[in-house]
Amino acid sequence: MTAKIIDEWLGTCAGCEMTLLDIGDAILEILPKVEFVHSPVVMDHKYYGQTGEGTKMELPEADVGMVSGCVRTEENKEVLQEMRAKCKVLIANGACACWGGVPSLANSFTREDMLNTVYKSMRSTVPSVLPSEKVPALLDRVYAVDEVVKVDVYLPGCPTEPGVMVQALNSLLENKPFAMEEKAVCEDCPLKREKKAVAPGTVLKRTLELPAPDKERCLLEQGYFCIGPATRTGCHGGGWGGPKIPRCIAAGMPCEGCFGPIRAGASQMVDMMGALSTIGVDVKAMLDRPASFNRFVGAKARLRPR
Amino acid sequence: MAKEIVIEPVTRIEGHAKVAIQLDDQGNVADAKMHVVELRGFEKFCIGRMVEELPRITPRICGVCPWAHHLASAKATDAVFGVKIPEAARKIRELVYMAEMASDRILHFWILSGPDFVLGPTADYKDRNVFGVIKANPDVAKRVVHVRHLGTRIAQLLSGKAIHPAAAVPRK
Repeated sequence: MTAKIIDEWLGTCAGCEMTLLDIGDAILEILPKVEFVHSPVVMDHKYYGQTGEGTKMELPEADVGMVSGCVRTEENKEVLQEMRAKCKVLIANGACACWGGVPSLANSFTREDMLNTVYKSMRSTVPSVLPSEKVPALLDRVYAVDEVVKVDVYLPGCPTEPGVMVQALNSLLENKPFAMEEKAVCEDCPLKREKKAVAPGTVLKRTLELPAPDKERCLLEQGYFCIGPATRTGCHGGGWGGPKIPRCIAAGMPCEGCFGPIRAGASQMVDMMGALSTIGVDVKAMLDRPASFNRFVGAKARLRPR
Repeated sequence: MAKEIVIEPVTRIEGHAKVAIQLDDQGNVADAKMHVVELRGFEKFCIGRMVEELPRITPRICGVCPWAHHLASAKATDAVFGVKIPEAARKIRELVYMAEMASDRILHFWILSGPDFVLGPTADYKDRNVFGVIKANPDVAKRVVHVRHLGTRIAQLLSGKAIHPAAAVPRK
């Protein structure tokens, strides 16, 4: 028997849907075991009947629902609630669904402030009226999926990672539980840590500050903001299609935290403040703190208007 | 106005939209509009971020074409810093972008728009998609999946991360 799947995207970029394709050849082994019954990115099933004849938004029944994106509009909320009603298991797919993701950086501003900037005061666009015809209203802020409905499985990451996705899908298809390790990115980071503190009161460097960092050594110990100590590991996908190295570290960049907190409910901000203080960094001197600590987790009141 | 037909969502695209078609009393099309039903507000929340972080934030505008946003932002940041990147760096940026573009063309044709041509516009909507293409042409599908994945693998090997990259940096 095949498992019926709904894939939906709310306030999102489609990166998590692309990750599903990035599974590569192995997706051909998974596809015969599943049947997609609704997925706007690849299929033509519509909400209100195929020619708009329906009056109620309707999704088909499914065994598994995969939802990416944050809850930004009234319509996102409606789709999500209909999805929850029709799916036996709901997967929050990627950072936006899990904690709001990058779009939740908007939670540092009021909705009205954001709308005014976008439609009225951008120097690069002609000021206009706020759209009102047939567009869903924005909610007061960005919500994570589990602030609206119950979530059964969380797939972190921006985007999530093919190896993680395969593990989760196979676990679900075999009726086994899926859980990720509660370990920090540092545990899988190949850079050398000397476990030395920096000089007390050290101010963090800017990400691209010269001279360039030593490529072999821990970026944090060299004074760059790397949120690896407060972020869950797994972005290398267990070496899926590449070496088992955290993705941004492989690019010579510090971790930006897209796999979220190490444990459910933990705060990357609290954990990272602790890690920075321990090695002697002057946390108060850090630039753009709330957004740097919470780049992917701004829902659930972690970011709010100042 | 006699009747309005609203088709939602617009499918097999990146983004969220619906189409509203207005019919007159004779049942002919009087007007049609496409409504974009999403806003995340990058225009607002990029303000106040550290400029060198923007090449990592803006790719999230679109997960189908993150490299376009990554490189546009990196080039803008180059200009802010007044740096000219080394020739080798320029070539690497271009190489990854080419790999991404190869993948993207395959995605666009075979997975997004192609089903209309391969199976035809009159095919049942339940089959007129990539899964229908795979069923009808399993050997072609195998190659499509494989070759598309090669492009993203090249991007990943060169840059660490194919979707929402961090690799292009403005540095003297």
